[in-house]
Amino acid sequence: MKVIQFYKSETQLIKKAAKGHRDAQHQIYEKHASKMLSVCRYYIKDIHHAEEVMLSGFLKVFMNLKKFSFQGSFEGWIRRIMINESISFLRKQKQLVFTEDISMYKEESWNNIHIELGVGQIQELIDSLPEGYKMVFILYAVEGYKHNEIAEMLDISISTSKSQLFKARKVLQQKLNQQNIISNGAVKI
Amino acid sequence: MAPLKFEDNIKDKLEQRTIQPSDAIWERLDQELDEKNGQKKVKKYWWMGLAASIVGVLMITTFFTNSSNSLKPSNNQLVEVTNEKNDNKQSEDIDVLNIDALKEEEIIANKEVKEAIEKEINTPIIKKNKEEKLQNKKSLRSTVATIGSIQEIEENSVEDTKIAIAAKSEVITDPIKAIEEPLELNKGVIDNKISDIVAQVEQLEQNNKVVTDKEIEALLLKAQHEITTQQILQSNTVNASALLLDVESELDESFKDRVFEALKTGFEKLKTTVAERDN
Repeated sequence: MKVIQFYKSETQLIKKAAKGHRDAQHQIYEKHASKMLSVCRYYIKDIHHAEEVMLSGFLKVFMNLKKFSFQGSFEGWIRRIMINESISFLRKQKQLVFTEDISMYKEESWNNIHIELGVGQIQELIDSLPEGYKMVFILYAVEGYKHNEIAEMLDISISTSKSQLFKARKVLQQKLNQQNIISNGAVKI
Repeated sequence: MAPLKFEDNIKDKLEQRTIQPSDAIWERLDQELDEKNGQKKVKKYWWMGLAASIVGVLMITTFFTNSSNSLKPSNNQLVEVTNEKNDNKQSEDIDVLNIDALKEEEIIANKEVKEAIEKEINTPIIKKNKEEKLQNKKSLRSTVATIGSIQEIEENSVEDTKIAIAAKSEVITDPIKAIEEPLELNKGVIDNKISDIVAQVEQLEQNNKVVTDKEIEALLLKAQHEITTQQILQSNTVNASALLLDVESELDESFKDRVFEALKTGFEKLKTTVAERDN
């Protein structure tokens, strides 16, 4: 019978995993895998691809665990690796295209949207976005990165990052409006 | 602010979501981690192997350089040794010329002693000379002759033998005196031996009536050895060149020859052992 050793603190667990203890590595995986698969799923529509990206992300986590300086959250560190892996994956797939076309979006159009969306619906909405828009939108709206950080991460200009966000929002707005029409179709004649 | 509110809503909802990956993912990760570790190990071993081979090459190089360096001086030494030998030989030749004259006389004297007591002192120093060998042969022949005469004497009487030997030894003592003083010292020893042997022969005669040649020969050989030993012990001088001559043959053997000799002996021993075991 395999005895699984439980570690008191996360620091101890990380240190053990860094030394190559497979039990510790498994515990870290078990703790973060479901969350990280969800993160990868933000960017990658295909769940199997998302799993592959998560797998290579964890491989990088364990190979570079010694580099973790215990400054900031461990989850944030893993998350950043997962995001970078997703970006790399999309780049390899040549799906990540950023267009420079800037058009001002109409902020007032959001005022009409008062629908509660389930997480599935939100994901569907995000999935419907073009890859470039989607990436910037998630990094900005969900992950909380600033435009300069996003520009650096995606190797694009800050203005491109901004334009991508605007476009993403515009598309989302249109989609939500459509959603609103469908859900309240009978009302609006 | 509505879009931000909507985005916050999206963020909250997405943050709460978790997707359980399939079990196969961990298994694959486990395998891939093993592979990565294996690669690392292989790399480590490869480096260790490389380091070991470098060390090996260095050691071999050092060994060869050292051995070639050490060989050179040894060659020089050998040359020096041969020079010394030549010098020794040259000096020896001169010595031998000087000594031979004296010693030949000595040999003649000794030979007479041998004749008298069947076999006498044969100075070991001069063994190697062919002339000496010839002389030894002669002495042997004469020994055979004297054995015959002794037998005749024995047949007559023990007392006659005594007289005959005594007479001969008396004859011998004069040339010995003439040759060298140290030999005079030996005279007493030789006389003692002669009387001893005569006494022993007498005893044998009394016991067995017939004394065989072999018995006499054995007694004489024994006496000869004792006299030689005493001569060497009594003489204060040692012939250095003769000693060197003895050792020279050993010096001439190179290290290689000695090793081969040792190997040969070892192999012969082994061969014999195996053969005996099979039998």
